[in-house]
Amino acid sequence: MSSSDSKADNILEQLNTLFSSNMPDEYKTILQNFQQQGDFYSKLIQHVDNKESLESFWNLVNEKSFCPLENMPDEYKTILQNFQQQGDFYSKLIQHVDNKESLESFWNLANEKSFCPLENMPDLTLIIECIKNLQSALIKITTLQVSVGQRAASLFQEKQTLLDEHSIEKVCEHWLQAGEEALTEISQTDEYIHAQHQLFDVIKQLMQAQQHISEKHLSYLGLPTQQPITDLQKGLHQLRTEFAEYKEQTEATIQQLTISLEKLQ
Amino acid sequence: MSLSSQAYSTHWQAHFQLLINQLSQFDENSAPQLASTPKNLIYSENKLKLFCYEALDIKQKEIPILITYALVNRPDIVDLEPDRSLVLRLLEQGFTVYLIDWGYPDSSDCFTSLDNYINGLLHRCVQRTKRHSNSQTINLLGICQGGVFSLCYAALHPESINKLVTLVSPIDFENTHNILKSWSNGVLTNKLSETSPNITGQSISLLFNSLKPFQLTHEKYRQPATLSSKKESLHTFLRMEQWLNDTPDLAAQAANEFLQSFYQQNSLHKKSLFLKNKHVLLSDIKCPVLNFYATKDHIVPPAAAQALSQHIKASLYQEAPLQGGHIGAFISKKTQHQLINQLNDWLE
Repeated sequence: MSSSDSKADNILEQLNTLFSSNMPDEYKTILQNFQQQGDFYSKLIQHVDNKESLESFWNLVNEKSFCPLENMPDEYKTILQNFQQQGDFYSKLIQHVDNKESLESFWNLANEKSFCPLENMPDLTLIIECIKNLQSALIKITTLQVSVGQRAASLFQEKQTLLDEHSIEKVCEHWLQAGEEALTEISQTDEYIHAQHQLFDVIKQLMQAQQHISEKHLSYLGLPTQQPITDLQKGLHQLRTEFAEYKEQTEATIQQLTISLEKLQ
Repeated sequence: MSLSSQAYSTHWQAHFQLLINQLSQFDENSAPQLASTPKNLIYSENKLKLFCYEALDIKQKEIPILITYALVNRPDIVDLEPDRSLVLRLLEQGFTVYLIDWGYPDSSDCFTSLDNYINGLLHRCVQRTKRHSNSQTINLLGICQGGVFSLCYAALHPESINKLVTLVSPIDFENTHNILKSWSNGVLTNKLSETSPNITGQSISLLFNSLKPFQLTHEKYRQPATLSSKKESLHTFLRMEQWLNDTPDLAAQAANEFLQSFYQQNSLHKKSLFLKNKHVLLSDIKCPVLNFYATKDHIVPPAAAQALSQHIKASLYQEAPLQGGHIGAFISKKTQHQLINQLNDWLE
């Protein structure tokens, strides 16, 4: 094992120890971020050295900031996963048919659910429709985000070729510039803006559908629905505002009276 | 030509090891803290707190300064650390300094509107500041969205304001050509029902990261050497990270109104803003205004802030550029020095 490999293992060991220690959580996150970026930039430099494709180094698809599913309920992520799995399933089926391979396993009941609750619950077909629209909107925006990587790779090469002397510092500087320029360029196009608006529309429809179903189920169970909670919140807000205004008026009056009294004395 | 990724890895590992050693010395009690300048709570209302900073042992100026920060992020940034504390620099000039801490809204605050913030909370803080400092008027220093609030307040309540300072505050939102602007256009606020939840702090953080994703997610963590080699740099970095990760939720109604009225309709600049039936016209501001803007601000581009000159009488208006980005403009040691000197001369 090379000395740098053994150093890396040692660092990993230390990190594992620290992550289970009482170091503040935000410092653990900071160290994790540095470690991840260390790996990232090492791979970038290796790829530049080996003249390999660089597009994936501007991959926005996995960036949290660009992932609208970040705050999505887990059950919707599961539904999306199901769609993806079936996409793979049907691709394999068609491939097997093309290659005249055995098809028996494609009717394997052993893993089938004997009851499909989603199809028999009319309310959830609304959610499924929204999920389908969401998937379509995600595909559009993801395609555009991938194009950022392609454009960035092209800009990067342009910048590199203008250099007389190459250095790691310049590689990283050009990586950053190429990424930011490509993102600025593509994110301001009508196509990207339209795809983004469509995505927000669909997310909003999904939230409204979810709310509609939640309300129905809550009322079946005799639990408070949104409207009573909203009424309470409004009432509380009004009370707080009125009280604060009353308190301010009272204190201002007391101060004025105090000043007047002092003048009289 | 080989860049020697092996050499890069070796160098990186050595510095990452140093960083691990340094960070492992901190626990919750010994970690560098923000907002350490002593202050006293003089008023609280729901989540809001109004603080008065303890004066230094120097001659005090008559009229106090009230700092109004944005609802997005915490106001602790104005007192990041002693060497970069805007508050401390003001105290050193003999100003009595007050600060509004908007607090952490929860679900019970979802109906707090812009009118509540400006004509309610901010108004009561101004009145409290006047009474506490025994002054008929105050100087208002608004930062970013806090500057927008301060401008609206000064237009509606000119009697309370002696002078107004705005720092990196957007006026013309059609000039903010970035993803934030095009994102806000896509959010259909007219489809938002009454029951819109607060906007989480996490969503806001992700949104701001999306403006410069490669810089903020990758480049920031590329060079452990810059932190491990200098204790001061490490402490500043850790404080900044703490501040960046401490993002309050935004009260739903105020957030939606701000998005709609300012980002989408650009109402303030177009002179069509109403706060509870009161027309907010920046031309109604009667006090002198000093407008600082940052030359490399990707959140509030210079033109977006400079648009204020179109609304304030020329004899009352002055503007000043600060070299740096949105936050760097007032926490960088170099620009802070320039800012304080200009501010002090202008307020005298």
